Amino acid sequence: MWLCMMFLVLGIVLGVSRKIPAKIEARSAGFQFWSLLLILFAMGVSIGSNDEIIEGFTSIGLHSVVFAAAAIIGSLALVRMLRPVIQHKGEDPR
Amino acid sequence: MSWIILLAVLTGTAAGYFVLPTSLSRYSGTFIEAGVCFLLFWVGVDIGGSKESFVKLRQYGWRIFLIPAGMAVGSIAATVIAGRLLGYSVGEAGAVGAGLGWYSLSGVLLTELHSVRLGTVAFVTNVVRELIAFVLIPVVAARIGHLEAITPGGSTCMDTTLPVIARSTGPETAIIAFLSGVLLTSIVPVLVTLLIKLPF
Repeated sequence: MWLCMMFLVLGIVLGVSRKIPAKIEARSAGFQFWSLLLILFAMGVSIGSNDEIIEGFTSIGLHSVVFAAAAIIGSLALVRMLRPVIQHKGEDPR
Repeated sequence: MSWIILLAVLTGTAAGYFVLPTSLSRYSGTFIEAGVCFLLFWVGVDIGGSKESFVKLRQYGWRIFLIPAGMAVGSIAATVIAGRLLGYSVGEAGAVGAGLGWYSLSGVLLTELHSVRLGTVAFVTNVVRELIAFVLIPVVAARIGHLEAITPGGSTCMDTTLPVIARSTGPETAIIAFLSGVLLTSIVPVLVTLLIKLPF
């Protein structure tokens, strides 16, 4: 994934220096949307074709779902509680 | 957005399981990496084009670190509680939660340091976490808040879930998500190794 990080940094550098023609930059949201859908489809393919995940899910699926849900709820709840410290009033509309 | 995401993943899963031959599906990893590179380039262009993102980052200062810290502590604490109810020890459950969405690493580490079973639990838990995150991020961004929308993906908010965060919130939050993801990714190996060594 380090290669991907380099692309992100390259994008930031080109974005800051305004090197991308406005006509192409205007299509950024569309590029992101369609490539995201393709990636999600490919992620599904890699899950569906991976016996380790499918077999693992049938044996310990319930535990994994409980753990995953707990981890997400815990992260979200704690950041929500810390929010008044992280973000002072008027710093962000949301 | 959440429904489209869920549909794309489910269609892919069904295609991978029933339709696509292994000769094709084994390239899905390469395809995903190339796609994420392309996608992150455009997320980067958006971040770079938004001067306010950097100003905002400076305003937050050290407080920005509370986001990844809260994500790590919240994940581990909640999985320990859930794990006790399911019959796991504090160390086992905490180590699964400390995977923070990085399924390949936490799965391999726990298989080596503990058992194949716990490694599989960590692996599948963190795959499921990433999948739930894809669907949940747009909902959390719209109903709870932008900063909270960073949290479901854990360490994946620096790569795979970053585009969904960027799309659901904006470049300001995307840059915070990226930094949080980098920090979390760097502490996952340490946390998993330390927690699994707990004697209780």
